[in-house]
Amino acid sequence: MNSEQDDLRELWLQENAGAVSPTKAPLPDAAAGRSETARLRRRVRLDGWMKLLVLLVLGAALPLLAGRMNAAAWAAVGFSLLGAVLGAAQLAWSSGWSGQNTPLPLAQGLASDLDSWRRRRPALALLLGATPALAFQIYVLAYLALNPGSSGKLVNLIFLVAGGPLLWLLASWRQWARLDAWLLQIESALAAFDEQAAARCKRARKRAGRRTTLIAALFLLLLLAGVVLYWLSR
Amino acid sequence: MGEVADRQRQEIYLDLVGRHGRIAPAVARLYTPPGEDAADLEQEIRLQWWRSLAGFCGRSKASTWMYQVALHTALTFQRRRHRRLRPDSLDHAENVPDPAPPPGGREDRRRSALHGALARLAPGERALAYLMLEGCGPEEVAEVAGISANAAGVRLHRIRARLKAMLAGKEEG
Repeated sequence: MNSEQDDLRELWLQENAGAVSPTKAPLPDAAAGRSETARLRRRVRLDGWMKLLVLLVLGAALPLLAGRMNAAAWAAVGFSLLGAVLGAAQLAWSSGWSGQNTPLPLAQGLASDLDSWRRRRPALALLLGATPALAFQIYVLAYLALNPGSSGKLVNLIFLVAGGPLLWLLASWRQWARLDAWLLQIESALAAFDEQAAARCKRARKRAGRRTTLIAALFLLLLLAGVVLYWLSR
Repeated sequence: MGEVADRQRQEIYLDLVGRHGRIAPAVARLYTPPGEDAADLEQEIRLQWWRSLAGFCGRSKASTWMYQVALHTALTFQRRRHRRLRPDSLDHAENVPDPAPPPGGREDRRRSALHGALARLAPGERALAYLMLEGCGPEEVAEVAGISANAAGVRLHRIRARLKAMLAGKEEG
């Protein structure tokens, strides 16, 4: 160990002189994980419960639909059941995610995190993005079921055919981008140990910046299109 | 039977934290921007030690394993704040403001400058710098980081030179 390192180390030891090891450290509360993994798991579970909640809404809406079980009503029931199935699948899937650190050295541990979250990312983005789209689709179908005369209006048909799928695509893309921001953080940490990861990280950062702007612009455009269509139909 | 195993696990955990627990506040402070509370990350590190204890089979030194878990937790811990930042600002290296100079003497200023210089390193380099400052040799750094001892030596040399240059720049400034 040379003198300049000694000098740095001495400064470091002085800096951390106050940080003493607790002699009676309490056991940590296992339910209070604050890491991104723990937060993501909680978000996926909450989203799963929200999808299951649609069954309650459907139960409450059935008396209104009684005697009017037309195609739109059956489609609303179908989408509600699809939402419930997706919610249950989400809950089952997220319960299998391990909350503990991989017992590997940093470079291998970070690479393994990147790998497993990259594999989960497409399904996760599609599942989380499906919630607002399903809610919108069920709302439009329920409206058409209760007002059969409105089914012929072009604006309602556009909302029905394009609104839900477009919202699903955009919401899923936004979820993808959120996950990507976190994976980029891991990749930038990995770059210190792996030259290839450093190059990948640089390229990904450029792409991510452009994508964030594009998603925001498309959301705004979708909202504007909806408002204009609604206004024109009145 | 389960109770005995639980008690043993608690005893091992408390013993390890008693001996090396100072790693948690030091790493949490190193990865928390100036002016923000490091308590969340510190608690997460302790939680990960507790959860990962079953995976620690004693092949490496206890301190090596604790460094590994603490740094892995810090490197994958994302504060909510980051989501609102543009992705190109995730690499802290160029985006961290220098902390305000402390009111004390020259030594206080140098300590603060060291902390500021560490905050300007990229997250992965900061992990290597931390291990170096804790007195780990290239072999132990290589074991924690999962790279060869040669690569660890080269990176530590570069990091030391950068830290030294940043501190010298501060002193001249």
